[in-house]
Amino acid sequence: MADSPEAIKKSLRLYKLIGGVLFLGTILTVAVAKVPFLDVGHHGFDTADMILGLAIASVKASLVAAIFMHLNHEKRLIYWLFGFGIVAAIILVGLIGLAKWDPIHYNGFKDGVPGSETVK
Amino acid sequence: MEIPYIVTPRKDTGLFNSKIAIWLFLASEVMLFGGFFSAYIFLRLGADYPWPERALPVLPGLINTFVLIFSSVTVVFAWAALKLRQWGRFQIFMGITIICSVLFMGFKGVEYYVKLHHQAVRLMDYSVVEGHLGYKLKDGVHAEHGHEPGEADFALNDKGGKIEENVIDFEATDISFNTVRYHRAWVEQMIARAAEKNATITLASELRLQNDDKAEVVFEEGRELSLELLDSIKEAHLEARANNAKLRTENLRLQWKKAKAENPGKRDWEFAENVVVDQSAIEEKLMPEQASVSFKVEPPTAFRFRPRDIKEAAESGTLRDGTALKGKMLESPMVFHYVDAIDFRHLVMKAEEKGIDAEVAIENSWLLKENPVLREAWEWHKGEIAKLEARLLEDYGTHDENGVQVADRVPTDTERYRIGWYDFVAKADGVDRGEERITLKEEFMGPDYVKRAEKHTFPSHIVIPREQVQFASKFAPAWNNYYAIYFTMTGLHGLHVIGGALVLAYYLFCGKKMYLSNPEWLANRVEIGGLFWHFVDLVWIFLFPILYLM
Repeated sequence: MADSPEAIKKSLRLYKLIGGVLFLGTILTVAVAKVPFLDVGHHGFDTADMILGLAIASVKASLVAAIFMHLNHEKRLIYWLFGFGIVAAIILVGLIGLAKWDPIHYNGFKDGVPGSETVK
Repeated sequence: MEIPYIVTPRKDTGLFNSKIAIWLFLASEVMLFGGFFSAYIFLRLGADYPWPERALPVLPGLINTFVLIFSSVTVVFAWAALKLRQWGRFQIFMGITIICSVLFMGFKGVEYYVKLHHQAVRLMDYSVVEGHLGYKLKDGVHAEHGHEPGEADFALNDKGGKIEENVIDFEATDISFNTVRYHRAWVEQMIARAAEKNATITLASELRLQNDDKAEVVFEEGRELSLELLDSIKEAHLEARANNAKLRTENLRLQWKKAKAENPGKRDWEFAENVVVDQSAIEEKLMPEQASVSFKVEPPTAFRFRPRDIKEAAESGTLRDGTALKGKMLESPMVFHYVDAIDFRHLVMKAEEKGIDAEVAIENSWLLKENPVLREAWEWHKGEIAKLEARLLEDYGTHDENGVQVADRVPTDTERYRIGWYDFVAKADGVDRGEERITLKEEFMGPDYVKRAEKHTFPSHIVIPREQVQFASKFAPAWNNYYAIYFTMTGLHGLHVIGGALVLAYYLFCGKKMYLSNPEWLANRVEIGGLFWHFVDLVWIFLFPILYLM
């Protein structure tokens, strides 16, 4: 860990550099959304823009986590804790699939309670 | 008592305790925000209306992103300063971080203010009008062309504020209050309005109820409406209801016992449907209930309601507290002082579902049929879109699709079917769409109506009759799911900014004593606060593109 005074002094330059990269990343995110010349995919917002925008955001977020939050040299326990949170969040997002690909289909309640034809 | 492992790491984990605690907390925060991002995706995928892509002004969001990134750098510098035992530098960097948090919330506050004061209305044909409503004038005062009304000309509400021209005037002849649910403030307003109009609101017929000693209480026909009167009726009604419920329960219990005795060996459900209260046995002991109470209004008087408070029809209305009105709805239009956008995307979506051509649907919309100013704007807009189409064709060319040459890039639905305030500015300034000049203040606060009024930039005094209004709201969570999730996510994030800033401010203003006695402990604390602050920045890194650019 960068805890010795020398190591911390050395890190300051890295922090400035990462700050600069984050600024540039933000400008790039806006540029690909606003400048016609940099517009990927179709004209206007589309899937390609979404992937590119989220990719830039992910790189920026990774830099914040790795450098500012010192995840690039943390103890294993922290990786487990934070990793668990991220995996759980991904599962939460994945839960949308349950609604989108619901295996149960019925034609509403017009013909009575769904499944009532099997209950006598 | 000395708290262990606040400076030195534990041997088994290799970490000081509070670091594990903050990471546990951050892991739970990831799940919290993950849930909201999940909700955002769900709402966007399932939206049955055109999702407002890139609807927010980018500049305030961009500046806020810069502010948060900058504060992330300064907070880590503040931590490093403590590690190097430089109290002065720590103060400077932490001070800058706190200022950044104030700036962030300031910009966010401006953004919220602008949204919450911007009106939108969806018409019956699904076209959308956006802008700012006018204010109601006093009875008898009329707006004249070229003459802006003075402050003394406006009608005021009971709190002394101006009333937006979005109220429903209902001329009531009868008012029926729900005896237990009447909203006291509305009753008071009705009494005041009747007094103002020299009208009376009186009990429509005599009521005979009982008090708790079962003595008869008479409310004579013609008694004037007052809160005391309603309260007395409510008291008698509730007393009767409690008494009658008790009698019915006791009788039902008795009937149940009898039924069980008469049906030995049978299961309860086999005879349950025959067990009912013996009404004749309790008839004499029942007290009179009065669930609603009617009043006459003489002469018929116009009362004023906010649209959210009344479900109105031509000859009746129901308030949210269950009060029923009879009479007639007066002309109650929504009047836009300025219209700064018209949007046909939802109309086009609905038309295409029915197989109707988009252009035909727009040409037949109420807005274009009734309003020549908006029609002129639409004709101008069509010309601009034709120019854009030609430009895209020239720049990107065509490709072959089943033997037909199709343009590689075409205008988006938003460009085709929405005239935004930027477009109105371009039209008024006589420049091409996209070449308009917008001031810095306007980038934050929206159009400067006063400044732009000279060129008649925005269509003004647009009157929308009530029967054309399908739904109206400010750009608040009620308007659509986009604004609901926008306010939820940015609001929750804003609360994190405030919470984090308070903790960091505590270290800045109250940390000197700890710095002098145990500087490493303070450094560890600042590291923990800093980790939270970076997480707040990390969440915003995703919120900004998702809400402002996608």
